[in-house]
Amino acid sequence: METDESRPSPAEAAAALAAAQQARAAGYTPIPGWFFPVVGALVAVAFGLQALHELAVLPVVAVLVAGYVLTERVYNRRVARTGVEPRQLTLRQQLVLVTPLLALWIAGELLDSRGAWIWLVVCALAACWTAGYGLVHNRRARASA
Amino acid sequence: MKVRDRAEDGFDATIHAPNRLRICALLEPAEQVEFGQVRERLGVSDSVLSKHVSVLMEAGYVEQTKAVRDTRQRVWLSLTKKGRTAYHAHVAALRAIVGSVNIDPSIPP
Repeated sequence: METDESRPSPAEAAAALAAAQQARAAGYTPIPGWFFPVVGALVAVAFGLQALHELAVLPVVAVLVAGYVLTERVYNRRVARTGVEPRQLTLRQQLVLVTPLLALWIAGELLDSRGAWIWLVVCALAACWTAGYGLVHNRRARASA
Repeated sequence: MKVRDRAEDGFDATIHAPNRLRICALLEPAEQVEFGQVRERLGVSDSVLSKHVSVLMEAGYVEQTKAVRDTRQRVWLSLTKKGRTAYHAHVAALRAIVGSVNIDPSIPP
């Protein structure tokens, strides 16, 4: 059982906090900078399927799957090489990332009758949002490390 | 009960040992870290790290997974949800103790 005698003095607590901060900074490894732009590009390709004719869908889906598998393999190799797997996004962070993408997709569906160019805009916005989110996420993570 | 008192309740003697605190701090910003990387980044020996990891595992704060890659078995360490919560509470307790110097003049330095 813990007693007050086992508690550190303010000076000892400050030293412990400093040591913890130093160790935390040593362990911090960001999600690679290329990851979110690549995911953004994959999302854009997936959204772009909406504007394609049926014949073109299959090759694009193949490209999408290949892109996903390649991204995962490169990411896992990096983790194996560095020995540190960066922290995954929390559920809340995932929702923040995905909700605008969902809204964009719905907007694209609603405005689909205006022409295929709508999907070009949706794809560009989805890619920019995902890449931008990654930029902000990594910047915040770096600042807190 | 004051907010500061509640924060100080999070003090955890298991985590507070210097090397264990550093292990938890190093694992906190990551999903998992390879055993060798933890040893290297903290500058401790295999045996010292193993000993402290065992204590943290017994407390349910750290878990280890083994994965074979390139014919080598590697051990990965990660903080459990319980460990993450305990670590955050412990850091809050330390901050409260440090803050008490400025907040409460009745507590001697």
